[in-house]
Amino acid sequence: MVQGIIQGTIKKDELPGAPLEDKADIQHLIDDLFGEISKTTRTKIQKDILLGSLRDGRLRVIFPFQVKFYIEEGKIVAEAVEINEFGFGNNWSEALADLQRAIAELFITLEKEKKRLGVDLKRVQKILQEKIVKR
Amino acid sequence: MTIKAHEFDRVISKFEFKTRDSGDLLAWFEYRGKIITRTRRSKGSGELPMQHSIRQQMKLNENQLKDAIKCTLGKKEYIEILRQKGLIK
Repeated sequence: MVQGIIQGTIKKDELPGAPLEDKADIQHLIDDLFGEISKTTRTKIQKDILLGSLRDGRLRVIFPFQVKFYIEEGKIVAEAVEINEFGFGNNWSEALADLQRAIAELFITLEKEKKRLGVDLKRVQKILQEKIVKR
Repeated sequence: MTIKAHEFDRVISKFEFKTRDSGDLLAWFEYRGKIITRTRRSKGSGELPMQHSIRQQMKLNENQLKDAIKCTLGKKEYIEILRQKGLIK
C-alpha cells in the first residue's frame, strides 16, 4: 500500500472499503501525502516551536501554539497546525511575525462573527479562546 | 503546483468568497448566513508561496484546486465538496 502510494498507482476509486462520506477526507490525506513526496516543493523543516506571544498589545497567549515550519517555493512557511493558520516570509522571523499577525486577526474576526460560524470555524474559535485572552 | 495571485483571485471570485483588505487579502466563504471557510493571500501579483496552506483552508485537495483554477469546478461543486466533508448541512 505504502509502495503503491509512493509510486502514485493508487486511485481514488480503489480506496478500500471507505464509507462515502470519508472518501473526500481520505483523498485529501493521500493528496497531502503525495504533496509531501512529489507534487509540491513543500519541505518540512525538522524544527517545531511553541509560540507564546502574538506581539499584539490587545491579546495575551495563555497556552502556546505548536508551530511547524516548511520551505515552500523558496519561502519559509510557519503553520499553527491546530487552527490551520499560517504565515510566511523570507526567513524564520518574518514567517513567525506574519503568523502572529494572522492569528491575532483571526481571533478578533472570529470573536466578531461568533454567531455566524460554521462547524470548522467554531472549532477554531474554541481553540483560540482556550489559548488567548484579551488584556 | 503553484498558484498565482490572479488565479487565487479568480477562484475566490468564482466561489463568491467575500473579501476584506487588512494588509493581506482576507477571504471567507458564506453559505446560508454561516461562515464556512476562510483563507487569505499576501499582497502582490506573483506566485503565492502558501498554496498548500491556502487549499487546506479552502478544504480542497490539489486536484480540486487545479480544477477550480481551470474553471471546471464551480461554486455548486465547491458546496458539494464542503457538504461531503460535513462542513455544511
